[in-house]
Amino acid sequence: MYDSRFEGETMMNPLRIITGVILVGMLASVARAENSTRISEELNADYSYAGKATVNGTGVKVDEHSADVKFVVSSQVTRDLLLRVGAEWQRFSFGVPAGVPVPSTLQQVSAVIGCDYQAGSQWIVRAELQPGIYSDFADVTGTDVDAPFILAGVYLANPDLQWMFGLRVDARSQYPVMPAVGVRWKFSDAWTLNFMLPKPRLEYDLNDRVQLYVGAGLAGGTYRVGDRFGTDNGLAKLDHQIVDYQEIRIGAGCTWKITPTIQLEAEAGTLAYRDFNFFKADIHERSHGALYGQLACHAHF
Amino acid sequence: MCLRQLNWIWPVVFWTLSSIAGEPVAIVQRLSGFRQVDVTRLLTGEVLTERGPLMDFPNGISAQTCFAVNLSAAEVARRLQGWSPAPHPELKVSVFHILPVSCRVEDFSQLQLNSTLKPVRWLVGKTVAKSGLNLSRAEATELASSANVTAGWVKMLAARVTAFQQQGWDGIAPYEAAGKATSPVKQLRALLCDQAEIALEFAPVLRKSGLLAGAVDAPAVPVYYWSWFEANHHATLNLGAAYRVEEGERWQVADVEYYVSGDYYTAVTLYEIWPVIGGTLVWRVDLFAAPMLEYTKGIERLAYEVMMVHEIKQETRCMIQDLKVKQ
Repeated sequence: MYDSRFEGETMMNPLRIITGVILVGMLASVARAENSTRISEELNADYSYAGKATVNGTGVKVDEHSADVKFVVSSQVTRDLLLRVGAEWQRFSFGVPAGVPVPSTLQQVSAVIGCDYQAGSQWIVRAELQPGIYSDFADVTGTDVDAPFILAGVYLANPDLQWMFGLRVDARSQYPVMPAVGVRWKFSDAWTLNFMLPKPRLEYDLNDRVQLYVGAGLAGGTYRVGDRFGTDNGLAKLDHQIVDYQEIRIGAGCTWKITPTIQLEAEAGTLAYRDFNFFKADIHERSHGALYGQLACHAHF
Repeated sequence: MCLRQLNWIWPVVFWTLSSIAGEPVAIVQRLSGFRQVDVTRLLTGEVLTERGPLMDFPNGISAQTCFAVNLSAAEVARRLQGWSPAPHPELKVSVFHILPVSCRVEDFSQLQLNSTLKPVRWLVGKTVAKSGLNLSRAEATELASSANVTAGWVKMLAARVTAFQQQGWDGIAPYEAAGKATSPVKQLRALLCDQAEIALEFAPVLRKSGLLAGAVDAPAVPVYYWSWFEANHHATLNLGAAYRVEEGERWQVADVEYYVSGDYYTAVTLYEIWPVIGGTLVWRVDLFAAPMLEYTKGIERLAYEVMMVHEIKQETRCMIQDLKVKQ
């Protein structure tokens, strides 16, 4: 009954990860050669594994590997304007047998083009376009190209309180415009309510280097599946369809500041909700309640 | 470019400055980011604030402020030199105390570190742990072994003030407890070096303070002070010296924090004060050096600067409020 033909696909290929890290390192060193206080670089990388969870209505259990690497160089071009240029690779790999209308891979390879701008005495606005390929990578064509756009404004009320108002625009999604509101409130020396999407958290500073947190994580995107995805899985109407993928995680973790510029993060919890929404075909494939573990590294130079 | 190498420039600069000394608004506009300086509006209470230009010095940031008050320039300069922020609770300054020219231990009698408040507990904890504070190795060891933390700090602060009063900038011990030696004087000079145009404008007061190289006939005698305040949720102690000089019709004040217990290395606030029709125009420049700024770039640095400007604006409003009160 269980067809494991996709298993090899679902595992993250270590060689790809290493190659990616080397490429990112090369980009970083090129940027650093020009470095000054005007140039900054951010590298965010994470990997997680979520255990098996039953897909509703099929009885099939699916596990998940996911990884995300984002590298951005920011350059201050005027007193109020910083340009941001970079790249992001994000991949969700699902251990799914044949015949189940769940893609084995959803992947994003995109550029990051944007800016940060001081729009008022206490406002900073970020605009970011991420043109790239958002696909299951079964057959990549021009229709896999997308360019989601993020616009966010942060109101810096004081050093302890900041408000965020934002929206994400993705013309291919079922919900092309998604608004968001967030707040960061350091309400005591050790406690911070960092309710900023996509990772709202309650943080506790154990000491200068270690922080504990509980919170949620939202991940996903809008992707196009291959021309034969539906046919190969017994549901032809899903061929070449758009899928809105979303997952919500709830967990606890620990951040360790190794140096002032490098942080490691370990997190575990439950993947509370996962939804493959083929909205044009009116098909949802949902699953709940898998345990997950995640490692992440955040660096800025 | 080092300030010592600028010595030959001073006579030229002074001549240039004196030729335009009658145009304070033009000077402020030339040296600041303010596009419009309307003295009439400033006299009604408007406060202009602006982030300073991005520094090449990785530990430094700056901000500029401009305001006007309906007092004489000499009076404004006098009152800014020893201004106490302590009466304003929103500024979180517990103590601001003017010190005599010969400092004594009794001058620190208001310092009490036996509070259960978290910011104070943080300072006491760091003192005992010998980490995260701006101390020389000898100071860190002595404070950590002190039976009474308050008494230990009083002794250390009094010794630092005495060394400064007797030896000037050469008497300031470097910070060593964090591992590498950091001289607050070098940090101050690096800030001024980075903002060379501003250093040139404030050359009269900076030279009389001894921060700029070159012999001075009559060094200015500063107002010495110590204060105890909260910065970043941490109890912080500082030692400062505020210098004031008269240069033609204008006044200059340089308020220098030559010792800070933690969170940042040093700060200098410069005021240029001109008589204008209807009152006095004040241009304020804040230069600030902190260890974490070296690692704070991009949008984080932008946010840091925005917050710094916000806090300076709040402080300036309190200052103006006090200046309006007749003495």
